[in-house]
Amino acid sequence: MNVKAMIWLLAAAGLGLVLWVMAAMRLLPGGWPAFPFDPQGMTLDQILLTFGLMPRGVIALVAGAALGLSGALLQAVLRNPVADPTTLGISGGAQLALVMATILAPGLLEYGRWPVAVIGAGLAAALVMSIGARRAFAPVTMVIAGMLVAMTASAIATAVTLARGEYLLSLVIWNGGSLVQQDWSGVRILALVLGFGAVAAALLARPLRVLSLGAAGAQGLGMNVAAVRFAVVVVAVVLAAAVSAELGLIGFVGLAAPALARSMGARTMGQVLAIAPLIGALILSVCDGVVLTLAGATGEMYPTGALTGLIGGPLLIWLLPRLRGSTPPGTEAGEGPGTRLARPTRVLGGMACAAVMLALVLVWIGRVPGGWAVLDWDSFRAFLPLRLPRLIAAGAAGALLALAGAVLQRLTANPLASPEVLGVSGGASIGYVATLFMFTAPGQGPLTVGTMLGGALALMLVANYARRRDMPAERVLLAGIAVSAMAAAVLSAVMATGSKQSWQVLAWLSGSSSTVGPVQATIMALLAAVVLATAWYARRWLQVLPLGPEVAAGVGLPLIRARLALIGLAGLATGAATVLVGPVSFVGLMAPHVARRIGLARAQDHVLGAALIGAILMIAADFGARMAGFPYELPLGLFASLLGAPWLIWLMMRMRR
Amino acid sequence: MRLAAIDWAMLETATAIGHAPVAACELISYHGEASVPEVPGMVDLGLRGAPNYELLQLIRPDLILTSPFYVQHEARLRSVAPVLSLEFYVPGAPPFAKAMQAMADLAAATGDPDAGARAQAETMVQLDGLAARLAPFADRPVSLIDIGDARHLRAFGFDSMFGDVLGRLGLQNAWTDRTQFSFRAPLPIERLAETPEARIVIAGEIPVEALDGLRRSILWQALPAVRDGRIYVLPNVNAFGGIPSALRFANLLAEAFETGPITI
Amino acid sequence: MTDPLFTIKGLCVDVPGRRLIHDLDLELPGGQVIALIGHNGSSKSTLLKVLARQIVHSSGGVSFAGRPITDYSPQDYARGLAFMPQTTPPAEGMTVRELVALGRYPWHGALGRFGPDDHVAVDSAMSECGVTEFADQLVDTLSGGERQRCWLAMMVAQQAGTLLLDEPISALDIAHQVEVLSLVRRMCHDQGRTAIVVLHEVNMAARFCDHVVAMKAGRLAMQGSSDELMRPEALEHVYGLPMQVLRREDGGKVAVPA
Repeated sequence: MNVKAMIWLLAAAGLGLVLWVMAAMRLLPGGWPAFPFDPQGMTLDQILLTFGLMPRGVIALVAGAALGLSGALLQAVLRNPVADPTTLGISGGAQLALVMATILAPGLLEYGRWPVAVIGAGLAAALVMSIGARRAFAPVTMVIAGMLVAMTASAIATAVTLARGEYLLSLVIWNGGSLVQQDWSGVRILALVLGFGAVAAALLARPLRVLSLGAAGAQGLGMNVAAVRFAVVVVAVVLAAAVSAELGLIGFVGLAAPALARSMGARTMGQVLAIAPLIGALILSVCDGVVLTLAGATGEMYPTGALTGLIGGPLLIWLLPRLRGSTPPGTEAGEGPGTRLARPTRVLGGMACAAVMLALVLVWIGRVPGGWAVLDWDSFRAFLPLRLPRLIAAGAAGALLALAGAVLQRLTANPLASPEVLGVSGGASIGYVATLFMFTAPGQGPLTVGTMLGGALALMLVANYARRRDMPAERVLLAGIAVSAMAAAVLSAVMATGSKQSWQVLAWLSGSSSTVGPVQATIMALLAAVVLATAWYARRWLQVLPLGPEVAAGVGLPLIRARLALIGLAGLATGAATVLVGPVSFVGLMAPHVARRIGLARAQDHVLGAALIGAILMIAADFGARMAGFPYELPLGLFASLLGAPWLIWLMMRMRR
Repeated sequence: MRLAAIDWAMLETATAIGHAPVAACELISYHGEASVPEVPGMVDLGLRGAPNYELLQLIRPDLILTSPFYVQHEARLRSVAPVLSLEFYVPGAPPFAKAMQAMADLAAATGDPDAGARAQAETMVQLDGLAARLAPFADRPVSLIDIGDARHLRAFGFDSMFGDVLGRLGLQNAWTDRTQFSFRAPLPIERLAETPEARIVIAGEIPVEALDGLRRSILWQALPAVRDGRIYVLPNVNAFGGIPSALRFANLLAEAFETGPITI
Repeated sequence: MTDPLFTIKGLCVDVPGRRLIHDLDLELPGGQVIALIGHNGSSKSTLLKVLARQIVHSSGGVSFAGRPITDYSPQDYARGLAFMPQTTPPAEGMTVRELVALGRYPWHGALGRFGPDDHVAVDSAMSECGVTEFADQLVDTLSGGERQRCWLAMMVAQQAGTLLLDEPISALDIAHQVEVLSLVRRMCHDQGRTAIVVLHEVNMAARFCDHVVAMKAGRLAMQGSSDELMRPEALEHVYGLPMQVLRREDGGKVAVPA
C-alpha cells in the first residue's frame, strides 16, 4: 500500500460518509435519537433515522465487505482475475432458486430467503466448478461456463415470471438489489456471516498462498488441493448467497474490490484478502450514497444493485487486457481423438433428408383439445399458413445459431464458445430499451432499428478486441460477456422501475415465434442460406484457425481480417436468430458438438452438419414448445435450452482433462 | 356471436354484459388470481403473450377481443377473425370511464347495445350502494398499497382502477404523487409515514416471507396506521381488469372496512 | 557469404516495462541450417518470432530476401517462409493428409481450387518427411516424433525456401530428436532450403547446424560456425558457465559443464 492508495481510500470513505450524512440531515429536525435507541420514545423521523438510514449505511459497508471478500477468495482459489459471484453464475443460481420458490412453493420462504438462496447458489457453483475441474480451472472457460449458467438461470426466471402474467414485485425488487432497511436484523445477520467469512479466510490464507503456485505445485508440497478448493468455494458461496438473500442482486463489487486492491499495490494473498473487503465496503457505501442523494433530489428510488452493475461492465472490459494466465495449451481441446466418418457426404445428405421429413411430419400432426390428431385436408390447408412459416423460421434460426457456434468454436479453439456469450443479444436488448425510453411510443420501425444498432455496437466493441493481435481469440469472448453482463444490469434497472416500458421489455425478452409470418420466415431462411454459403467459402480459414494464431499466421492467413470477418458473420447470424428465439437456446453450443461427435471433422462438413443439426433441433424444439404445454406455447429458446442443458452438462463433465 | 378474448379486461367486460367468450387466454391463472368462478366450457387459449393461433382457428370466433397491450399480435389475429381492440390502461389516465365505455362499445359490436346500457346502469347502482356503505369511512384518506417484501411496497395511483374507484366511492386516495403505469413501485415502506392519518389498505395477499419481516420491523410497527390499528387486507383482485374487477374491489373494500382492521 | 537472407538492423523489441531485444544488428546467410541458441530468457525465441512476423518489433528494420518484412502480404510471406511454433496445437479430428494440405494455403488462398500442383506438393512433402504411411490416420493418434514429422511435412508442402522452427525437439526423446534434426538438415542440404532453428541443446546445435547464432540477454553474444562455438571461452561467454569441450573418436566435439 502506498500513500496515494491510502489517500484514495480515505477520500472514498469521506465521500460515502458525506453522502450518508446529507441523507440523514433531511431527517434531523427531530434531533439525534438518544442511546440506547428505544423506539418507544422516538418520533417517527428518529425511528426512520435509527432503524432505516443507520442500518442502511452499516449494511452497505458489511455487504460490500462480504462481496469483496467473496470475490477475493474466488479469484485466489481459481487464480482468475475476473472471477466473482456474478461472472461464475453463483448469483444467477440464487436468483433462479428464489424465483422458483416464490412462484412454485412460497411456503419454503417462510424461514426467509436464506436457505433457498444458499441452495441455488451452491448448485450453480457446483455445476460451474465441475465443468471447470475438467479443464484445469482455465480462467476463460470458467467465466464462459459461469455466464452460461447465469444466463440460463435468468432466462428461465424471466420466462417463469412472464408465464405468471403478473409481475412479481418482490422479485423485481430483489433483481434490482435494494439496500433499504427497517431494522437492524439484516445488519446482524450479515455481520455474523462476514465474521465467519473473515475467520475462515484467515485460516485459508496460507493454503491459498501455496495454491497460488498452481495445483501441481501445491500438491507437491503435500496440500490436499481438492479440499482447500472446496472449502474456499463454500465460504465464498455462503458470503455471496447471504448478501443475495438479504439485499438482492448486487453485481460486480466482488469483481472490482480485489482488482482495485491489486492495482493499489496489495501484493500478497494476505494483503488482498484484507484490503479487498475494505474496498468492497467503500464501493457499495459510495454507490448507495449516490442512490440516496438521487432519491433525495428527485424522489426517485433507484436500485443500488443496478448501479454497481453499470460500473461492473466497463470495469470488466478494462480488466480484460490485463488478464494474465491464459488457458494452458491443450486443456481446452474437446474430446481428444474422436470418431471420424469415412463418408461424411452420405451422413450430411441423410441429415438434410431427415430435416425435411421432420418438417413435413410435424406440419401434419399436432394436438387439439382432447388429444392428438393428424390433420385432414381441410384443416391442413387452414393450418399450413400458420405452421409452415414457424417451422421454416425455427429451422433457419437453429441453423443460424449453429453456424455462429461452429464458427466461434473454430475461431477460438474453445469448445465452450457459443453465440450466447458474444454479447450481441445483450447489446440488442440495450438498444431496444434505449429506444423505448428515448421516444414516446416508438413504433415497430424505430424499435427494430434501435435493436439492430445496439447489437451492432456490441459487436463492434467485441471486434475491437479481435483486432488486437496479442489478444487470444477466446478472450474476445470475454468482451462479449462483459457486454452481456452490463445489459443484464441495465435490464434489471429498467424492470425495477415498474413502468410501462418494463412490461414491454419483459414481453420482448421472451422472444415469441408465434407471430412469424411468411415474409419473416423467408428472410430468415435466405439469411441462413447466405451465412451458410459464406461459412462454406471461409472453410479453409475455419480449417486452419483451430490450430491457433501462430500456425494460421505461419501459413499466411490474414489473421485480423479473418477474425473480424468471422466474428461479424457470427454476430449477424446470432442477431437475426435472437429476434425469434430469445437470448439463450444452447443450440449454438450443442449443434457443433453433436456434429463433431458423429465424426464430421473437416471444417466444411462440420459447419454444414452443425447447421443441419441446429435446424433439426430447433424444428423439434418448436414442435415441443407448442405441444408440451398445449394450449400454452412456451418460449422457443427456453424450451430448447431445457432440452439441451442436461445433455450439455453431461457432455462438459465427461470431457477429458 | 362467438367471442374469443386475449385480454383479461376484455374477458371481464364481455362477461359483464352477458356475452361470455367461448375462449380466452390464461384461464388457469385468471381463475386463480382474479378469484372468479369458472365458466364451464370456456376454452383456454394459452398465454396472453403467445396465444395459440391453431386453437383460435379451430374455435372459429366471430370477434376477437384484445387491447393495445398486445398490439404485436393484432395483424395476425385479424387474419383469423375481426378484432376489437379497446384501451383500458394508459399511464396518467383514470381507467374507470374507459372500462364503462368499453361495455357499451363491446355491446354495440356484438349487436346487443341494450346489454351495454343495462350493465352500465347496474354498475352505477351497485357503486352508489357501496358508496353509501362506505360513507362513514370518508373521514380519513386511504393508502392503497400492495406489499412486495418486508421493505418495499407499491402504491396505487389515481390512474389505477382501484384508485379511480376509490374516488367514485367518495374516499380520498392518500397517494397523490405521480405514478408509472397505475402503480408507483417499488417504494420503501417509510413512505407510508408521509400520510400518518390514512387507513392502509393492502390489496392482495401479503407474501409469506414479507409477513414475518413486517412483524419484526420496528419501522412498520411504528407507523401511525399500524400503531393505531388502521390496517385492512383484501384478497387478490385483478388490478388490470374491467368493471367486474372494479366492483369486486369495491365490495371487498366495504366488507373489509365493516369487518374492521386486522393486526400484522 | 553471399547475399544474406535476413538483414537485421537496429532491431528493438519491447514489451510493457521491458526491452527484450536491444538494438540488434545481424545478417543471416541462406542455404544453411542456422541454430539460434542461448540460455533461458536470452530472447532467442523472440528473435525467431520477429523473423516469422509473429511479433511486431518496436524499432529497427528486418528485411527478408532484400525486402523489408513488413512489405510482404501475409500470403506472399508464407510462400517464402514457413514457421513452426514451439508447441504444436492439437489438430483435433484432422488426418495427416489434411494437416499437410494446410501448407498449401498460401498458394491457393481462401477460395482457390486445390489443383493438381497442390496434390503433388502434398504427396511429395509427405514422402520427403516419411509420413506417407500415416496419410489417412488422425494426427492426434501419432507419437510425438511422428507428429513432429507431420508438421515438418506441412512446412515442406508450403514450398517455402526458409523454415523457422521454434524448439522443434524439446518434447522428444533422444532418438526422435536425432531423427527430426537429421530430416531438417537433409531437407536443407538436398533442396537448398534455409532452416533457422531455436535449440536448447548446444551439442545438437553443433552437430546438426552449419551456422550458430548465440543470443545473450537480448543481445548478440556470438555467431559463426559450429567449430567457432565449440570452444570453452565461447561457450562460457554464451552460457555464463565454465564449459569443457571433449573430442569424440570421429573428431566431433561435445560440450559438458566443466
